[in-house]
Amino acid sequence: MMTPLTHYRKPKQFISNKLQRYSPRGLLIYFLPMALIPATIIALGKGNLLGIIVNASGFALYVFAAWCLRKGLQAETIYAQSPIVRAPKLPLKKLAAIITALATGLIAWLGARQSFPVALMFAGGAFLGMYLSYGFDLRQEKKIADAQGYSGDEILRMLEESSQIIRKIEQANDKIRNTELNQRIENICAIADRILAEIESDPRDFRRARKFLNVYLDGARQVTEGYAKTHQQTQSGQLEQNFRNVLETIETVFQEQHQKLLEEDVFDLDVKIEVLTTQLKREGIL
Amino acid sequence: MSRLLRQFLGFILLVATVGLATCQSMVKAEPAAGVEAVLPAKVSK
Repeated sequence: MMTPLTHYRKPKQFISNKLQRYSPRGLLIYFLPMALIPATIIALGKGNLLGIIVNASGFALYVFAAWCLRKGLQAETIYAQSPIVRAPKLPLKKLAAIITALATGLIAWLGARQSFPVALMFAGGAFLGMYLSYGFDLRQEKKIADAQGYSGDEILRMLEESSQIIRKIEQANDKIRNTELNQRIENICAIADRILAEIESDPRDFRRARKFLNVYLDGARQVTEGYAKTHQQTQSGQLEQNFRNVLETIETVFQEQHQKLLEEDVFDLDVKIEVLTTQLKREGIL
Repeated sequence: MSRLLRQFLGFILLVATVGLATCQSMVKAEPAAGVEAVLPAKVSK
């Protein structure tokens, strides 16, 4: 009997990566210098050394510029989507614009044999074209207000670390071949993401959620990575059941934590965290 | 300036500069064509 399609795990992360990778933005810079390929071949056939060097290096520069541009556009998408990502470190889009301008000036001057001032105008036009088409990189850091003795930077750093832990859990989940467990882990990650978004929108929640970020999230990562590693070596029903129990507890506690944040309840979840830690130790996972 | 107009202008500029420079470079990659163009003029003198 065939498993209904709805029982299969939805590859959320995979789809979003593919969308970014296959977005057509920035591909123009790969296509526009295509004429340099026959130009290099013609120069090669005619033994025109300068032509070979200029056209081939110009093409390489354009390809590098296009690669930088696409990476910059991807980083920008991630920055715009996630509330807790810092601005990209390298100004990749600006770098792509500079390289494109340089390559265009070089090709116009040495390849197309235009005068130097005209070649400069070509370079300026290409730079302006890159700026108008794709803009430059966002350098503005996302600010989080200071709250309850914690600086905005401290909160942002903690949120970034937590976000990375969630991504690690998702990576470990990809290695687990069990639809039911996959679904549970995905739910846990989704709730954790919501909790982070909640803290980001109201940093006053940070103190209450600090232990969750420190202990629980990392506990969940250790458990998932540990299970992903061991279940490939040994197929134990008991291990799977233990892991299922732990996931159930984690999911419940995550939901409660999220609910507490929504209700702005001052009650701390310390007691429940102790219970989970004890359970993780009892199940032999921590 | 609207975003669409700005992107359109950028597209035109890129096609005009990069496209023109690379195509001209392809045409001039053949030094023989240039020599042929110059030679008859020299011969006629």
